[in-house]
Amino acid sequence: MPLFQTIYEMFKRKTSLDRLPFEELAERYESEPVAAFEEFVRRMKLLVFQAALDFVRRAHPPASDAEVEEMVLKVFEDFTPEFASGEPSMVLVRFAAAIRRVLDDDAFEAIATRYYRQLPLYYVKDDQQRRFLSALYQDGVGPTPAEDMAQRFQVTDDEARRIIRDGNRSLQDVIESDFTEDELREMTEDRIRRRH
Amino acid sequence: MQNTSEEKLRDLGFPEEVIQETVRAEKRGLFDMEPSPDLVERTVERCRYLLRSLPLADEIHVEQEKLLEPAIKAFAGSVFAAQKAEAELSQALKALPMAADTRAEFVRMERLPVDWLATATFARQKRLRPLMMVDNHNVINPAWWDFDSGLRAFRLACRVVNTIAQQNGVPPAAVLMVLRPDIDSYTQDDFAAIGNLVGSATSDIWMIPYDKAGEYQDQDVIVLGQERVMRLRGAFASPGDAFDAFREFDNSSIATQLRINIGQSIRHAVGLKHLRSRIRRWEDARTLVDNVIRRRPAVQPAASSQLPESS
Repeated sequence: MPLFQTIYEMFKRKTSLDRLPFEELAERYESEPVAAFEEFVRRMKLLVFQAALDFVRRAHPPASDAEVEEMVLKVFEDFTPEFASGEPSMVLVRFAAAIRRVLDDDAFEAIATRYYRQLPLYYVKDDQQRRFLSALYQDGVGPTPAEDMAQRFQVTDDEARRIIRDGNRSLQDVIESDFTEDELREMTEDRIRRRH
Repeated sequence: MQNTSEEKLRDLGFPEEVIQETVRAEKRGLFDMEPSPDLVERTVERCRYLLRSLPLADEIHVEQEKLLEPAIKAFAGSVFAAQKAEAELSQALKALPMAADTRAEFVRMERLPVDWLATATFARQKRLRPLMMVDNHNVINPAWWDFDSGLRAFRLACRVVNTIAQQNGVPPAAVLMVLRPDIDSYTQDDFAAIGNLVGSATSDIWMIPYDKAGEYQDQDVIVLGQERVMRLRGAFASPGDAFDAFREFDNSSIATQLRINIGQSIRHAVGLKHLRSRIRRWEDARTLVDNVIRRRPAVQPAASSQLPESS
């Protein structure tokens, strides 16, 4: 390992926030409230933006950037007191409730699968696969994920495709082996299921 | 989204429910608009009053510094005590409480105390700064230095080396901060972090406006000792991403040239040593950065007494 990373990894003693599963991120709120909250916002902002866009277009068309972003701010503001109050493992369920409160059920339905898919992905062990998957889902997946990730991580399109394929396989393995049926049902409102 | 795109998502191994949701989102135009680049910062600002106002946990670092104190003193006390000090520092580092996974990593990192202290040895023998750094605000967000425990730890390591250097009458590390072109692209947290860095630094710090930074406009550079160079280019979403992208190599001629180049850039920068005691609040840091960007005369240019490689 290069020296700089050595120093970084050795002294920091804590896993970098952007690598933490959601429940551990909620736990870190105790010692690093602003940083943990900022990381949470960073992960969720695009999907919440899409839900808010869907809501504003239905409620007050046409939607302007300012209107949509104001609804995003309201969602996070509504949720903030609940970020660290309650079971850390239920943080996504609490946030989903805030999205439904401020927007509505239909708005959440527009993002629900991609939203809850983020829960297990931080358990993918391979760093590169996890980085690609987390970036993908933070971007809402999108119509051209391989090309987007190739550009973002400066790899070839073929390389990006390979990493995403491997990552999706690893993510399914995590879903099959790292969670029980009951845990998945409870933590993802039954949106993520094991296949076997 | 066309069926061909659905096929592409299938080919990439996405499950059917993700594909169908993405297709629906595309059809409803949910990818047509994107959030503003500063939405995260604005959200944090908006919700700040609801966030628990706990102090950042500095206790760990205070504890680390106390543990390292005897080793620093031993090393600084005698030019012949290097090996003994390295051994003591190694023991002190091992005594630090750390998570199990980090400890496992540590076992493989016996080189760390030796490498890091080699920087101090270099400084003492060559009478040069132990390290020179370009800290580019366009590459690493200033606020990360305040909340990211890894970056704070790096600062601690700098402090250890600076202490050794200063006790041996050698100038400490030189840090050239490259500012962003626009003052409005900084957040309050950024200014708070800059204030903390400037106010508590053991290194000598200079600030340079973006348009004066030349080759350093888009990169972070660290030159450790005589030959180790670390470079980082690009913009990153998090400290973890940034550290993964650091490129590190050993090359004494490149390192020497970089020391000269950074030193030359420093001559066009504003030295902050005399301003340390005046940077108390985030507003002070904002004024300072604004003055440097606008080249107001309120801050003095780098004085000859702060020459970058003065011994």
